[in-house]
Amino acid sequence: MRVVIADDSLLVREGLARLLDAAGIEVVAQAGDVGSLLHAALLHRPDVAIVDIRMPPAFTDEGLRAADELALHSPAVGVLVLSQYAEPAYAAVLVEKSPRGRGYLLKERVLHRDELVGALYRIAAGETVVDPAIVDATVSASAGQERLSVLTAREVEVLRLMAEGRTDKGICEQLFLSPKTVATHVQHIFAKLDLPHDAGDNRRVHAVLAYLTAQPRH
Amino acid sequence: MTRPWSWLPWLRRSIWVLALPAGLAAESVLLTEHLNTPIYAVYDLAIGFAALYISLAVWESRPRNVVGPLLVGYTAWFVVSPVRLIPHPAWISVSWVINLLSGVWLAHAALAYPSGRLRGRPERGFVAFAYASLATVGAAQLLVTPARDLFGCPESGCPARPPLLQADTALAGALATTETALIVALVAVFAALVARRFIAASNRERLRLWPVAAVVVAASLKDLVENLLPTIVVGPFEANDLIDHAVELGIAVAFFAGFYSSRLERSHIADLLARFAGARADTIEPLLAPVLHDPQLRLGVWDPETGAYIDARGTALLPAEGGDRVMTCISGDDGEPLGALIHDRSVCDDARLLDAVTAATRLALENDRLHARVAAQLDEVRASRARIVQAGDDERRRLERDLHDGAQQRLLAIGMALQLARDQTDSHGSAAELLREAEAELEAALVELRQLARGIHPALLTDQGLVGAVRSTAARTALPVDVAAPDELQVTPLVEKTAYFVVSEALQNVAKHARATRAQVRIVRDGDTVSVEVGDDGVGGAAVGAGTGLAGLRDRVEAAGGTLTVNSLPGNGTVVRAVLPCES
Repeated sequence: MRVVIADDSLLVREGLARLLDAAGIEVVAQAGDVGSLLHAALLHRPDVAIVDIRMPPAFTDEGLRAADELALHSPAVGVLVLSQYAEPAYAAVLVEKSPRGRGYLLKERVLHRDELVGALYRIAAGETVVDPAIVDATVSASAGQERLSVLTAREVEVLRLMAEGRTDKGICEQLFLSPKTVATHVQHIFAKLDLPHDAGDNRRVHAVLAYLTAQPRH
Repeated sequence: MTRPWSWLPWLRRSIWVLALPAGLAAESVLLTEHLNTPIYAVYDLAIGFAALYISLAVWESRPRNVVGPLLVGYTAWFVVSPVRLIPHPAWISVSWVINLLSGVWLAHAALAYPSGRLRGRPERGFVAFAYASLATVGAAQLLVTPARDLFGCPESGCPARPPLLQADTALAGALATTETALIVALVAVFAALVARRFIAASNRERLRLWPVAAVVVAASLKDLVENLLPTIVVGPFEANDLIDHAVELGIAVAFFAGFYSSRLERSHIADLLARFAGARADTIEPLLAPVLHDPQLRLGVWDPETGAYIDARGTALLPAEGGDRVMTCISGDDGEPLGALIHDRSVCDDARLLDAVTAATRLALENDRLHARVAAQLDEVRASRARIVQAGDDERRRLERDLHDGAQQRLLAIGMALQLARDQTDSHGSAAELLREAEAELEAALVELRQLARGIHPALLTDQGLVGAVRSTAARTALPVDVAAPDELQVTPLVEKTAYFVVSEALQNVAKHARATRAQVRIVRDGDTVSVEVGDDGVGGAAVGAGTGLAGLRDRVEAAGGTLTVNSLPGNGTVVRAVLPCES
């Protein structure tokens, strides 16, 4: 597993590199801004780029824009955006614009190295990862709950994992269910919430996130 | 010490009182001497008194104006003129001269109307010459003309004639011809002077000049043709008597009407004061022009920057040089120039009217200037309030960044170091346990920091605008919130932040106090304003009071140039509504 780290803070960059190194992940390059990130991605062809959402020059959502650029120039590179914003809207934007291998994790997730590394591997495999804390907050908000009242408790669990970017197989493992049962739950959820059903994994995540963040249409 | 002219009112009162017995006496003379019918006497007196009393009223209204006493003299003589028929030598001589001069009084009054002053050498010269020449010719006639010819009475009934130097029939005939020629010439010159004044007059002056001009010209013509007109008897009256009386009354009425219209203007000015209240400088002009019957009236407001009077069209007023137009400058109590009026020259004829016009205009302009000052101060206060709010917003944003870039990154670095340290220790030992606890504390600190930063300034507001940030906040609120908002909304950063602040504060209030089951947020762009409304179905009873969050919210909204209203009847839910200008 080879990664590039892009963060304007040397402190975070170095800490992360050491942390990942200790977990057997090769940090092939570090970048302090979007330009050097794109360059390093072309040069080193890493599996995943770990990108701070805020970078120079404007310190707003450069990380998201860098992900778009990478999709264009280095489509094989997965992107993990580390963010201080627990906003599902940002995660939705990231997932919507890039085809596969995208992750949106809160920064404090680096305090759980195992989860961080797990997410990197899933992204490298082309999966989508959304921070469970963001999904939890959205699903458990009263507005979300109200709209999810049509679902059974089990279906809400499945929905939550779908929003986190889990594949059907991943959901099976998490909930100790048979693939057939999960497939049935997924089908029910899509039917009940009236979501487009032909969606692939990434689009599925976006559809679910969009549903959770969008406002009801009366 | 008595004031000069303080006896004038007494004189007027005396005339008022004495006119009746004098008139009756004169009429009795007429009845006895000329065998007129009583009905004629009553008619004669009625017209005479009407004209006299109207003239007295004119004098009363303009005590300093020479037109008043001249008119009173003229009409009073009309009432008492029959006394000239009393056959007493001195009496008949004096009254004969007075009668000759009474026409000049009228001409004098007409030329001095309305200001009381004669204008220019031709008018002054004419009046002086008329008095002097008629008096001279009259006196000369008294000296040389036989009483019979002069007074038109039979020799027997004639009084002993006045001190006759030398009866000279030839000279008397020449004097009679001279008198007639003089009168014809004077009447012609007078008519020409009146015509000249009328032609030179402005429209506004003509409006007041024509009744007087018409009657005096009619009176002059009457004087001219009187001798040529054969005496026609209509009922109990003679035709030229009827014309005489009509002209007499007409003269008094015309002068009175002329002066009265000016008085009417003054009272209109008083009415104007009420309409001036709240009027701006450029709205005074159209109010003033019709009242003064001066459609070309211009008002300029003093502009200290250019040092000129600027009218409603934005051009500087030029001082009127000569002609009909006069510029009157108006300054405030502090002597500072306020404005200037360019008006018809004739407004100056009535000093009291001019005073009223300038006083009313001064009041309106002072008022306007005060308004402008207060408005300027208010604008400055608003702008400075907006600047303070803007500075506060900028500070919040900087603080949010500093939290992320400083504290957060250090905490993250510590957290990562703690994990690496844990790698070096026995994973089941107490040190590892301590490290794990420290990591958990650190994570809690990071979560709190993140929430704090979001409260200070939501990054989503910068990146996704008002609607995105509002939706996100709505989704975090502990009760269902419906958001209705346009997908695109272009507003200034200040308005955006203010609107967001309204929504987030109001939703916090709903969650904390309203005991509501749901809430709605509605954002509507309407022309140049955007309205933000947060409603709930809770207990209501919220009020904007000092120290409450709503008061702070109102301050904030007003700083952005908007208004905040709160509808919150107990039991009926609460609606907080802010209307903000899109451009501020």
